[in-house]
Amino acid sequence: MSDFLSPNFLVFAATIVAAFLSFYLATGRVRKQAIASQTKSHSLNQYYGFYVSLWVLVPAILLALIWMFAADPMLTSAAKARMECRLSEPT
Amino acid sequence: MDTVVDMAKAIKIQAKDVNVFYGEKQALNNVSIDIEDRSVTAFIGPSGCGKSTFLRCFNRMNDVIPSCRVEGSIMMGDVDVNNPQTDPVLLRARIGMVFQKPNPFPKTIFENVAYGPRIHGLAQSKAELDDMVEDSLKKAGLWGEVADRLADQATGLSGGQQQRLCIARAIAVGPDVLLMDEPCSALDPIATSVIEELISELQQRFTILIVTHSMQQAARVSQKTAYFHLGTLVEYGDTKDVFTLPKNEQTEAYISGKIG
Amino acid sequence: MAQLVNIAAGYIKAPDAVMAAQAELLRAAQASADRARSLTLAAVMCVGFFYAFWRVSPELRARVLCEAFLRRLFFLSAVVAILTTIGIVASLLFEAVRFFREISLFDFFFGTHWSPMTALRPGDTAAADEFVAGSSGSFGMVPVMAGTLLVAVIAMAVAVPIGLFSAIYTSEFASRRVRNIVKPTLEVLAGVPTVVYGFFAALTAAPFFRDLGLVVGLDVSSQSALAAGGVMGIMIIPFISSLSDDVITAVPQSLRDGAYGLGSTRGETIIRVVLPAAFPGLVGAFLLAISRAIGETMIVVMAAGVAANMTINPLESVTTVTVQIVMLLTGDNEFDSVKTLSAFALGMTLFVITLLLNVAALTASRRLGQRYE
Repeated sequence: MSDFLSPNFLVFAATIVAAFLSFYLATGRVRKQAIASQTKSHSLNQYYGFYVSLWVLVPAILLALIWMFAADPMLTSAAKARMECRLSEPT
Repeated sequence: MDTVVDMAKAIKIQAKDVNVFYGEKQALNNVSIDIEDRSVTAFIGPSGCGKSTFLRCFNRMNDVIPSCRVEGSIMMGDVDVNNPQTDPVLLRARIGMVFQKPNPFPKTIFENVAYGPRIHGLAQSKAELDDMVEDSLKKAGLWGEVADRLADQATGLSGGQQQRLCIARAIAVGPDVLLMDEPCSALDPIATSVIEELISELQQRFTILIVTHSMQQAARVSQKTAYFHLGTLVEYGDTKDVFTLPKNEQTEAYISGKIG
Repeated sequence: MAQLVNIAAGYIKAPDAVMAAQAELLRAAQASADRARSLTLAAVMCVGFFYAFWRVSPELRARVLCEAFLRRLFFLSAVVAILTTIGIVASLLFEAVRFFREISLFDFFFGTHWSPMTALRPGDTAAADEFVAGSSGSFGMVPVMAGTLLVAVIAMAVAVPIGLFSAIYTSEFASRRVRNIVKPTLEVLAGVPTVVYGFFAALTAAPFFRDLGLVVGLDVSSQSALAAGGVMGIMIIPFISSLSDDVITAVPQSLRDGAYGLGSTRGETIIRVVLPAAFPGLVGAFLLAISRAIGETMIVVMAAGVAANMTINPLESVTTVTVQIVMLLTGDNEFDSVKTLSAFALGMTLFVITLLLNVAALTASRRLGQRYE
């Protein structure tokens, strides 16, 4: 598989797509609701879009960052432990 | 009675057909005026009427502004102020100037007053310089307040004291004319009244021209008042007359607060 | 361990079957972790989306919420900037402390002999013994610091007069048209990469000074402090002139008017009133310039020497802190040898000095600011 289409990249791309998608879904939703309830929205439609996009993106980014700093060292240290265990076995 | 006093006073400065241009814009229009010796003449008028510009003509301060051009003649005694041959540096030694905001130099109180005598080489010895500084500070009514801290930074004085220091600094050079450009506009009422009293005292020795926004101040300190409007001299006469019986409607409108 | 990670990533081949198996295990663990991460991310995104989407209604004050987010984002950026600085300093400090465990503070700061290269021949216990023997004198930073200061002093001697005078010219004498030409030109000079100044110092200035020395019968080293310092001075000129120009322009016009009103000439006004008023700010500008000169690397790497001579003769070759750091950290190095660690100690010293200079500069210019509120 090429680097460009590596699973990690696909996840990344999906995140971006999800952010855009949620922007349009949110603006659509607030527009419809405003028409249905015959009221004026509190903010411009785009702010609702940003709001939902942020809720999609920010927790995901935070999680990815935490994962990066926590998971990889954990994996390596686990491997190290396995190695040492293996090496300490009688050969 | 008044006329007798007026007659007794000699003419100190004679300005004729003074025009001032800032680039293309004309700021003063054919202003002619005779200033009496040892009196206080007030220039009043709404903002932008050219009164400050006119004041700055007397010591060629407009030279500092690159786009500014002055025409006409100003005679001070036998000195032709506006003549290109006249050295503005020497001229300014004969004409002291006090500015809108107190602008003491970032030096000690002593050094501020001694600045003028030093650059003009007026004092032959340290003792003479000390005397000059003391004398100037006394004339400016500041000696009592600062005598024991001449070595302190001038910027530490209060606004009113700073302004009197600036007056002392101007007096120290030994001028016969003092130009004051709204000297009290940055001061509180108490400091203002101190300066006004000082002006009345200084009038014994100096010819004083004062630009002011406050008509009460003009009425209190000056003998003559000139009213400027849009770059022209609208009315000039005894202060009493200008304020009680203005000949011109514009002057009356300004004095009664209709324009300003 | 790093080897194992590299094997797992497929960068290098496993040396034996045990390693290969272990790498395979690690790779499998990594792959499952990746999958887990992707799924978690998807879940988090879904939760976030449905929570927010459910809340969307015309009454929701989305604009206010977006503003709040922006405010936090800006705050976070500021925090990141500060945290990274602290992180850098901390790592510097950490390595420096490791160095000072081997070499005493006294030897480092007051030792007069600097030769880390000869002290540590690459290798084994024999060299380590030799190093212990030589450790007393080999890491004394005094000659390096002296060289740095010498170069900085020469640079300032060139830059301060020229920079200050040109600032006085642009701020007090130049017409607007001339100013509009001179200032950008000086700023172009500031944009020249320091490597280019380095070329100039090594290939033009240094031979020039050497030849000049031959003419007057002086023996000028081909890597003289004079050439490096001189070119560094040229580099700093725009820095000084631009800062000084700002400071001088900031002196209120009313002070100049006052001086003219007392019958000062232009020169008297500048020397007796404007410059004293601008003095704290000017000192600040000079201090900033010194701290730049001390931290400057490229010119001295190319034009100053590498041998740590203790001298105040500008015609000789000297070395600087930055040159030594470059020498110590480029090329193949054991990362935890004392030699490499000494670079961190030098870096730390340099950092502290420039920090102090910058703080002093800031305090000085603040004093100017207060005086003319």
